[in-house]
Amino acid sequence: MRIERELMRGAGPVAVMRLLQAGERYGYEMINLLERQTAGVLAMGQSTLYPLLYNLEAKGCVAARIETGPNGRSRKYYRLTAKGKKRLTDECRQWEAVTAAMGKLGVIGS
Amino acid sequence: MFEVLMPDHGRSFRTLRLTPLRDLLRGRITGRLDWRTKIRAAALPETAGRIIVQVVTRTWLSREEKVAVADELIAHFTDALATGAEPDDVVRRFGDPRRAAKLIGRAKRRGRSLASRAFHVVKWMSVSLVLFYAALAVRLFVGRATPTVDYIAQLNTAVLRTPADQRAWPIYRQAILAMRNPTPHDRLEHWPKVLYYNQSGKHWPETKVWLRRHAGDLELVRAGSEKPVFGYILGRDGSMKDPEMAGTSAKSSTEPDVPDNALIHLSLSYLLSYARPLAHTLGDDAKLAAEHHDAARAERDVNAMLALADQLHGQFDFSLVSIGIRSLAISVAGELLRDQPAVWEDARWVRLALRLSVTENASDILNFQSDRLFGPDFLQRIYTDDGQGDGRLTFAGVLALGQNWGNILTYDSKLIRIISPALMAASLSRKELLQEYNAVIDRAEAGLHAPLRMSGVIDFDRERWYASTLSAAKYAPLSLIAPHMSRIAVTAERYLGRRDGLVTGIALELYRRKHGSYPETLQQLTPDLLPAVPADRITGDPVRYRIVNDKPLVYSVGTDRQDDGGAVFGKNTSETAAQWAPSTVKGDWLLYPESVSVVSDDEE
Repeated sequence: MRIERELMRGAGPVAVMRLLQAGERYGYEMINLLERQTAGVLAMGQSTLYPLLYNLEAKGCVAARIETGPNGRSRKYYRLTAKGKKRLTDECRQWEAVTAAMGKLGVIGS
Repeated sequence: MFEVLMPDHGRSFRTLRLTPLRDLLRGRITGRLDWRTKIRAAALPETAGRIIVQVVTRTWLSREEKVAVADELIAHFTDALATGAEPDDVVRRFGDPRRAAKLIGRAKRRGRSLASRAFHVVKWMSVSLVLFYAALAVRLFVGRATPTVDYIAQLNTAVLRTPADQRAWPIYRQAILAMRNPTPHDRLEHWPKVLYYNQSGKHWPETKVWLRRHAGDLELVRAGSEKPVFGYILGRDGSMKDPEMAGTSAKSSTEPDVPDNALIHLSLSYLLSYARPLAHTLGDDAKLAAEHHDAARAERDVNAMLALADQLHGQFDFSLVSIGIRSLAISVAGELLRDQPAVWEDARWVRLALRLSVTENASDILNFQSDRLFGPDFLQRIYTDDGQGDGRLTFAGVLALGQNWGNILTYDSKLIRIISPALMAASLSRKELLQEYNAVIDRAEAGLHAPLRMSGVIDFDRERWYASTLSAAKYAPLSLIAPHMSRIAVTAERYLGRRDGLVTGIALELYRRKHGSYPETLQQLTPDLLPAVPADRITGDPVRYRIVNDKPLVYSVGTDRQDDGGAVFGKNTSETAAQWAPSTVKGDWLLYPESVSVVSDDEE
């Protein structure tokens, strides 16, 4: 099932921040997790994830560090900042309210 | 010593260029902004490498930001391929690279610091400015002037219709060839200095010797002045195509059109350098003739000067030159009247007074018909032509303007080449300039029909042109070709004032001859010797008159409008007080004679 772009625009950042709540992750890892954990519903185009991460970074919600492995390969790891945690809490609350309201309207669970 | 951390880059300029400034400051040439090499070094499948290059290139980010994006995408594709996925499948799942580049670029820019944003804004503005300037430069350098109207032919039409034996120039030419110096380098140096010595000066004997030697040539000049038309044919194929006359002045017609072939240049530079010296020759000879009591010759000399001015006015309307020659003529006549009045009997003085009195206003002795051609002719040589009478400044035009800006911008100056696109952009279009030019001439010409005190000084045009650097650039061509209207108007007005003074002086002399002494008032001269007392050209009141050392003095109260009894203060000349624009000059303007000061220097 494909989610409309406008809906994905709202859900994407929350989903990414939720994944980072568990700890540091790198880009391709998040792409795989999103696809697996949401059964493909929130599988965003791979090229979409990076702009999303950069936007969150610009807003101060996530921070990144580069780690170079023993084979010389470098990866960029993202983590949630305090600001990001607060925003995630707020947004989760909003999603709960929306979900409840949708349920009452019979949009969800009918 | 610099430490090269990426030896595979070598010490090439490219490596240096791709090293961040902070690395260079630390003495290291790292070349670590070379994201393309990084992609190659990642040894990804070609399709993956190509898509990274596409995305990174299209982000339009800074090199440092591009490196970060390239690193991330290299890691992404490496991780994806490590799962065993097919390269084509990985590339397909990545998505549209254009959209990715757009979103990544936008997001990265959003994350920039304020200082970084300001830097990038300034950078792009600078780049835009450079590109804009380059476009202007291209526009300037491709522009070519294509003169289509032969204004020289227009000016020559009347002359060419005149029979050859009615033209003065062939006779003047013969006299000039005999009188001038043989030095070929400078047209002005063609004329001996003796022409400009004062009669009361110690060099006057040299002048007299020279005049006697050239008596026959002077007779030719007088004969030439009796012809109805000056007869000089303008243009490279006209009278200047004369190896004997031209010396080094005869430039090839293959030389640049501007300004060498411009009408104003051909007219003023070549012809006028002959006219003034001819007038000086006649003036000196008139004085010498008076010394020898040769009344007829002195009269012919003065009349020849006036005729020469008439010829120039008739053929070319060269305002300043013709008025300058008229002024010289009345100066010479005034000196004769002051110092040797007996040289001429009544009839000769009356004839001169009547001849001078024909002129009522400045419009009788000058107009701007030639100037009306100078402007469009010059503009057609320095502007492009869009076929609708409009166009833009050309590079050749800029150089022509630069040539005339003297010390600031010289012909071979690099500065003018650099600023030329800006000058082109700042200057008015051909049509706008021509409109401005014609408007200036219209106003100036309208003002000639009344005394300057009524028509007003028209200096405002030039003031507006030079109000700022931008306006100076805007009106640059006009500042070269538009005649200095206020200067011309003031010159004409001063001539008319001095003319009034001389005519009054003649009437006073005739009165003295008849009554044995000068009159108490100028009113006594009217109507027998003077139709009316001339008006002061500055105030409109009658000119002032008094007797000083048994000699008459006719004067205007000058720009301060105070009657100082004919005083000229300090280092002022007799004409310094002859001003119509606001001025603080004190003292009077002497109309006749012109060089007598009543009050000593210490009164100012």
